[in-house]
Amino acid sequence: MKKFLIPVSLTILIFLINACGFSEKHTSVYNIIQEKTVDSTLHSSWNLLQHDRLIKVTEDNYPEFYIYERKEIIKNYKCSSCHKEDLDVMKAATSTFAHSDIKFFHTSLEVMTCVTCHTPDNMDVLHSTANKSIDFNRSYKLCGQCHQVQFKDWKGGAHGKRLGGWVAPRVSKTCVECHSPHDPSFKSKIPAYPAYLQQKRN
Amino acid sequence: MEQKKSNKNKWFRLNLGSNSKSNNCECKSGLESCSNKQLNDGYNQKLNISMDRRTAFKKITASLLLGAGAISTSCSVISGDVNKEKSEIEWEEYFKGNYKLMTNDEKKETVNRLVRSYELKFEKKISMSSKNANEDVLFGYAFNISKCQGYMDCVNACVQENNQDRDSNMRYIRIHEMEDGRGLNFDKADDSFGHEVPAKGHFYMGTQCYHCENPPCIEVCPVQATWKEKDGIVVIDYDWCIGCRYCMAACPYDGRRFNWSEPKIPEDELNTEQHYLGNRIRKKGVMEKCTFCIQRSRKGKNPACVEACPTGARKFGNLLDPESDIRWILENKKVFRLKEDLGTEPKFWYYMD
Repeated sequence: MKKFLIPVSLTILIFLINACGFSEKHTSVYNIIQEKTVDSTLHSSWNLLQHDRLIKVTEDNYPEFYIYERKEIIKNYKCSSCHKEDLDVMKAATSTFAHSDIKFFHTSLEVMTCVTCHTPDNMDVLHSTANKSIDFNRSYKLCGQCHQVQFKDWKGGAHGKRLGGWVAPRVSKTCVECHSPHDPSFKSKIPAYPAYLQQKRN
Repeated sequence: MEQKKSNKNKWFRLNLGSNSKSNNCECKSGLESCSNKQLNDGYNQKLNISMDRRTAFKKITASLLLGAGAISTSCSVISGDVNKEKSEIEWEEYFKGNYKLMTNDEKKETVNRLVRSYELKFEKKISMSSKNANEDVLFGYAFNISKCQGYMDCVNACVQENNQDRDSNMRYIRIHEMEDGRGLNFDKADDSFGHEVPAKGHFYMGTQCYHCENPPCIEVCPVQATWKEKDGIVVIDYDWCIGCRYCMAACPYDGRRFNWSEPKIPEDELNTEQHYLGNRIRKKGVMEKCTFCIQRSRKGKNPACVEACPTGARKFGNLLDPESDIRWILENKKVFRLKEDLGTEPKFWYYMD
């Protein structure tokens, strides 16, 4: 019996050591995250961005981030260069609708029309449902009135496309850079991966 | 006593197959004859080998031929300088060590050699980096299943960025088209659809290398050609990989790819911004996989898939930075990872709106 005692106890010991070793080896990402915190301004990807176009977005309880300004790149801005008179006067003067290229697929016209967002007596700004003026550069405020869940996710960083690199500060696309306000849904299309598609066609 | 001492020094010897009694020195004819019985170790294995005259001659001739060949190519006055340089580079590349163990200077040297050798071969300049992991960075990735539309712009960008073989349709990213109401069923999912997307009644889910914190793939590599870098990226030294594909079998997520043939990339589509551990041109018979675009991410850029995604379904960032959007997602959205029960701890989360 004594002859077996040593090898058996040795095997058990080795097994135990191995078992302990395994549990020590396993590392949880969440533990690592909790243990270490770094300064977010440590690295920089500033050079990937168009600095002169950045606008800071500060919302309560959310980290600060940036978006690009819009007014410089909206082709027909300022709107008042055409909209010199009141909308009703202009409508009466011509029979053609100058914005016939705009098709409205946002929602039912019972819910909203052009003037839900655009301001008839000052076309250079937008306005909220409570008639508070909103700048074209801050159009996210307008969208956020109804799309509150998406707005929260966008402010936190879960929704929306990030520009530049992963390094702080975050620069995000604003709502209307992906979703046309008049036709906001994403369209269906053929997938982009060309090599695969070629094979499929052959 | 002397015998025992010398045995102690040879701590590295594996006594596999040798008779354990021979160590105890049973012979009674004195110490000298005992020491003769010592096992051959290290170079002694090669030098103290007993062989007859015929095999000895054979071996000598073979090695002479080999050596003469190598010397004639590297030292020959007749062959041009270009050939000479080529074979010099080849020679040094052949005997270089594992990238993981290299010093920064050695890394730079091998990168320079590879760049030069490409220039000599194709008369085209490439730039290759050997940039080490940044301090205080742990990369993480999040994927929004609600937002992915199956456009596959990510796959396209990945193939181009990472110089993947066009002939075999190599791709690191797979987009699985799954039917609504059937859960995450990868068996029934289609990852090679060509119809218009998003298809009605379907959702899309991308998979790739998850850069696990406890990666099973690196445990099984017999030559340690794959490892986890300090910033959490799991990488492969393509020059150290022997192509046994153990890692491919060990990966529970189908994240690794094998080069069955010489990768072919159209010359005008070659990405010349390369990293030793990333998108440099691979050889036939080595493993490769997603590296979170190490050549981009270590410079502060987003991986090519993240940049290409038109829906913003792909998120990438530093997990250690509490202000980053990836951390906001982990803390505020309902996230999950695949096969969590395996304990692999992928740094790749899925979430929904």
